[in-house]
Amino acid sequence: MNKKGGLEPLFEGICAIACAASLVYFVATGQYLYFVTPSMKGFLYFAAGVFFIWGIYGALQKKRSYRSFLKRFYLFVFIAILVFLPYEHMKTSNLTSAEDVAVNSLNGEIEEVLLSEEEVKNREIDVTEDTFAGWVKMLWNDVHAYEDYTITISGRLVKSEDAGEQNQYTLIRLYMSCCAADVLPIGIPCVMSEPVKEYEEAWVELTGVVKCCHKEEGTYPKIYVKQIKKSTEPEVEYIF
Amino acid sequence: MSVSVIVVMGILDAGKSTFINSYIKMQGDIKTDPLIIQFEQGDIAVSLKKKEKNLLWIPVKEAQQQTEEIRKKLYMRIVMEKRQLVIIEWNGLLSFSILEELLLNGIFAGICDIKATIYLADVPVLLKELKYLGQGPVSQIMNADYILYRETKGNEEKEFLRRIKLLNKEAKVLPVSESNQLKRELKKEKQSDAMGLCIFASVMMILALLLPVFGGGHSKINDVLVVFMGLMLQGIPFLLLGVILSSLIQVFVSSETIKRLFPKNKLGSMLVAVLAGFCLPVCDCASIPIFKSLVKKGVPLYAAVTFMMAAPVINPVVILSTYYAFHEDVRVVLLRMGLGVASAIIIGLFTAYSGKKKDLEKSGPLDALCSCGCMEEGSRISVFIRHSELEFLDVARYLVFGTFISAIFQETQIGESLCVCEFSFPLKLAMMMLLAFLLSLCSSADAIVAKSFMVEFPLSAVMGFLVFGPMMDIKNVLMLQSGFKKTFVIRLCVVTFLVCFLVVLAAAVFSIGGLGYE
Repeated sequence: MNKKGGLEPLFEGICAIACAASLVYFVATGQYLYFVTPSMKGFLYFAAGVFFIWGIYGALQKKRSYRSFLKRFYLFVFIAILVFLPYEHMKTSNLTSAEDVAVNSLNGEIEEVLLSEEEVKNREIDVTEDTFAGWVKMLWNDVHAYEDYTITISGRLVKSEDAGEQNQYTLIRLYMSCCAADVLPIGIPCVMSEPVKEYEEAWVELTGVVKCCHKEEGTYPKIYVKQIKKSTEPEVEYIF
Repeated sequence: MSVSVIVVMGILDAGKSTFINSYIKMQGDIKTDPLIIQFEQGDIAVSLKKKEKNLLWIPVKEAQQQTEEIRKKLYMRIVMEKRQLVIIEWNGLLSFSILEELLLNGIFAGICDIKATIYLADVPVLLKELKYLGQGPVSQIMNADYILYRETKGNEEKEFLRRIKLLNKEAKVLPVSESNQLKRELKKEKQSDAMGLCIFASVMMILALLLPVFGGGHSKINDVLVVFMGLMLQGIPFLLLGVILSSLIQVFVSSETIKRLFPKNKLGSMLVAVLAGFCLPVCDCASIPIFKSLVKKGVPLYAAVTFMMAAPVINPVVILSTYYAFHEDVRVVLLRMGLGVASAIIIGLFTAYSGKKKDLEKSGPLDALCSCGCMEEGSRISVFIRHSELEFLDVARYLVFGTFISAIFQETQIGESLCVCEFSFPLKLAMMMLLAFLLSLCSSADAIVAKSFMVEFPLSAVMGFLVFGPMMDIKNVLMLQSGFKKTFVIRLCVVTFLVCFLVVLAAAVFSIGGLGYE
């Protein structure tokens, strides 16, 4: 039986406001980045804003009516609880080998990176968090253009098992184009002068030279590493 | 002090007095006589004629116009006489909101506890005349806990039950012969919704706490939840945009204005729908509430269907995402748009020539009747806020369910494992479309997933994914069911699949460059 009145409008309002607050918390703490890209930030704040307005409006309703819509508000409670579930997110450390790296799926949506005149002159590429996907795409698409460039890049170092070479690794990151449903590991193969067991599975920054390699299906990039050091793991492993 | 109130409603000669009489007879354990308040112009309940001290008769006109005076009169009879039980016989044409205003607000706030609302239905009259009787009967049906009806012919009864469910899903609908069961139920105390909500929240929290125990680490449960959360966060803001746009149309735009925008000839009307789909940046989650709004506003079903089918495929956001996902290949964008528009128009034409009036039953014959708050009284802004909120909550349930199923499919990779099998082109195309249906991806973001299938499938098969997916998928089907008959939704789904399949197949053979086009 539905009875609305007394505390029920307030209860309705609290459900919607709790949902709004949990969304704001989710976005403000950056946890949303494990599920969607930063481009959704504004949309999620918008959603929280709408929920908040609904909550305030519901809580301030003075006129009592018989029929209650409280059952529908289960959804707000559901969303609020969903936000706080103890998820285990996909990490590069969960990848067993570089075979999982999917470079073929990289697409035109990723912005290409423009080199400054000085970088072209010095033949240097400094890959940042924001330009990782762009550089991976550019190097895989046209490695000839950047052959012999010195590159500095960070990511997780994973042992390659398919190459048959002892010193071959792949530097990888997780790329999200839309949401958690489409997270892909992307990266660039690297060759060390000798096996680097201590850096395997670790988060590293390496400097090396870009070389063009050949396979039956075409060319692909490889970094011949000159220098390697451990670096700090970013809070969110994904790049967007 | 709390007074139990039972409200008996229904149009003239529906049997309200008879019901009240028999109900009173069954209440042998009541210490004081119940007060019967009759907001009627009909006969006074037979057994009460001799006990006028227990009867209060209020003319319908007074109830409509003199709220404060009537409230005082009721206060004198209910509170001053220390009544335990009040039975109200509510006139069948009076809006239920008048009763709410009288008994739940003002000096009565917190005093009257409406235990049950019972609607006695005259099936033939309701079937024929409900839409002419105004908002009174509709508001009563929508607020009824129990609906009693006299058994009638098979089809008539079936039709009646179906229509009642459209207006009030929660009411218990019983034939009069089972009214004793109802009378017994009225004695029981029922659990409140607030209690249910608390129990639900507690169970959810316990499950959340148990998640690390049973589904922690990189278990399938965790992965499904992560994908589910991703899809939900992606879908909710766009669904909100959709319901806000749809509520704006519903509350602020008159049916006449909307109808003026759509030409009377079918093709012209469908072209306007396509143009609207091109201009509005709405994905499939948002296009469904707008579609429902358009239908309610009297836009022809075929035009509304064309809009719903075209908008998620040809809107600016989808165009851009497809353009980037396919390496800035304009041909893919044009193909997707062209095939999308062609399919949408063919589906619209099919609806125009095969659609039955019954298809509109959730919105048409009962003209703009819904339980989404749009019938509430108040300023337009407050109706807009209430309408958008309730419509969101109504449709979002299906979004939650649909995305959850989709997340399971994605994580179990059933679709992908089927796709690696060797099939002929038509089967590959059908497989891609089936996959689009199961994955239920947002149309604004499905291009990138479609691109990843290009390794295994030719573009012409992937085009099936890109054209059909935004038009119909699990969550769309579920969301449509919140507003339309199941048979209509199933037929639309099948027609959409067949049309998209044939259009893409024809394009593959004649235009794209053959079945082997990569």
